[in-house]
Amino acid sequence: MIEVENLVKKFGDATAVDGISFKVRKGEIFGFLGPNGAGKTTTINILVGLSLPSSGIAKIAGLDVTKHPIGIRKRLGIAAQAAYFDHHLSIKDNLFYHGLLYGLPRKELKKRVDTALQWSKLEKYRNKKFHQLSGGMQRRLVVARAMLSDPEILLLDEPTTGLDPQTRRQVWEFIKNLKEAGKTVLLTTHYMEEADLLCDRIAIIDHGRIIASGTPNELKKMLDKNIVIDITLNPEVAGDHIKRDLDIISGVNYVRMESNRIKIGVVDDAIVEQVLKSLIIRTKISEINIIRPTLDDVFLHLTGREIR
Amino acid sequence: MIARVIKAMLAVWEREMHEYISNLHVNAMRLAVEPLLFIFIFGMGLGKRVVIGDVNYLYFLAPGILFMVAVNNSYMTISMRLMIARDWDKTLITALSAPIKPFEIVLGYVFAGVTQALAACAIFIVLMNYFLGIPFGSVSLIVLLIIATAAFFSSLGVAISMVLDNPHHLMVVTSLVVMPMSFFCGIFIPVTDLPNWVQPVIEAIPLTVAVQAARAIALSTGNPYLWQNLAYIIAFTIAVFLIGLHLFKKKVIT
Repeated sequence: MIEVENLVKKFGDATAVDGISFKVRKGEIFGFLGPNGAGKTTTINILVGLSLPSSGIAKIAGLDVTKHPIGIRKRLGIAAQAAYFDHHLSIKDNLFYHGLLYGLPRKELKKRVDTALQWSKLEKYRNKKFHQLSGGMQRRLVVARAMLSDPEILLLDEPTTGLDPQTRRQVWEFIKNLKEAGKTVLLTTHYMEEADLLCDRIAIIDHGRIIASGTPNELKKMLDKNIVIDITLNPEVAGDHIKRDLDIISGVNYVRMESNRIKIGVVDDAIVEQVLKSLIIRTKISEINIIRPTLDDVFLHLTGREIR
Repeated sequence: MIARVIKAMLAVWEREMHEYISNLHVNAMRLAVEPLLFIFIFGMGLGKRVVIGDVNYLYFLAPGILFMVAVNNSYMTISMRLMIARDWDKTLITALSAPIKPFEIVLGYVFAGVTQALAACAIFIVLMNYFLGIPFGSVSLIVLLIIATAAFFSSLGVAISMVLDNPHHLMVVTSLVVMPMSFFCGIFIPVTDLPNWVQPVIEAIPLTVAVQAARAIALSTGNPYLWQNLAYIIAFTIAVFLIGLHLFKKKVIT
């Protein structure tokens, strides 16, 4: 549904997007994961036609975004990072006049406005102004407005930034529902947990370049060699011989022992099994924790720093 | 294609008209109170001591004030609304994420400016004619001049709101450019009373052309160049509209 090839966007001397390429398949949630200033919003703006690329090609449903902006926007719903609403209009009127720009018939549009307000659980607030809503309500309204034209493709730019954990979960449920409704979603975020939970595939972007892409599991497998087994032994059986036995297993990266607690770094799940079997035979275990790499670790591994 | 353009333009127009009507109590100041103040103070007060040829000064002044109303209800409304939409609400960005072209958005704003100017001018004409018996001659010709002038000043409002980044600067431009235009373009005194060197410049301004043409219609003094006058204003309007559209694209699409 979305194809981007060698896309470059320069603002003067600064390069915001530096030759990125990716494809978003029909019906999937594709995540654009990266820190602020990585080039995520610039890419979205190019796809919408609010920004012109310096070079490269971006296509939506086979149409070039620079040549067919109207045809493309008919199929797109956009929830921008910053919520822009007319401060003087009620939220109901804001939705109505936005829908009118899509050329929807009035009767149909009024029904859709009602549905959007129901869907976002804002019916009670239909006559309120946008700034009178809480942060969570505002984000729900932004997504509801993007849904108004019943688009095939949704571009959600940082949909949960600045929300409290409870409201963030509500918005996540909204986004999961979009996938169930068969929509194709391009989601930008700098929250690892969000990308991991919602996205079928992810592209990690930093300094305008895609540095890795794949399913969340594929990305995490990049760090398979960094599985950590954290074991607490029964104090009576702890001893240096256990460390010595583990050190000789092929695939064990390191063994660190402090009193009755051992941390064992291993390369993959097969070695996890081998280590655990070896320990269960020889000693008594009080607690086991297997710590797998997160997307945070992947980002740290790829960029040498944590996400900003 | 044309149907889509009209539909898109009307969507923008309807939104602006909704906003205008919602604030009618505030806009009424510009609609009625402001021009009436000028009529009472200058026309009925000071005007008693002023003679312009053999014409009653009130009759001389009214067509001029009519065009002051047209300017205030097109330029000021559109420049302020667009500046808010561009910089404060940022609803221009939201609008451009819908299937609508910059040309259609600008056209919608200009159409809204013309509609608002026409409504305000209609109220002014009715009040002046009914209460003070001031004649306006052929209203249909006057309406054509109002439409062209309001379209010119709405387009000017689009261009200026795209150049300036600060509402205070907009106030300064209004005070130093648009308001003096109202005073020097033949509204209060004939252009022939101005110094000789400035007359060609003032006479080239579309507002002067419109005021003089409307006055000729209202006072039935005859104007063989009426259609040329109208074409002149329309030519300026098209030029300023295209400049405004260019600035709009440059400012909003990065």
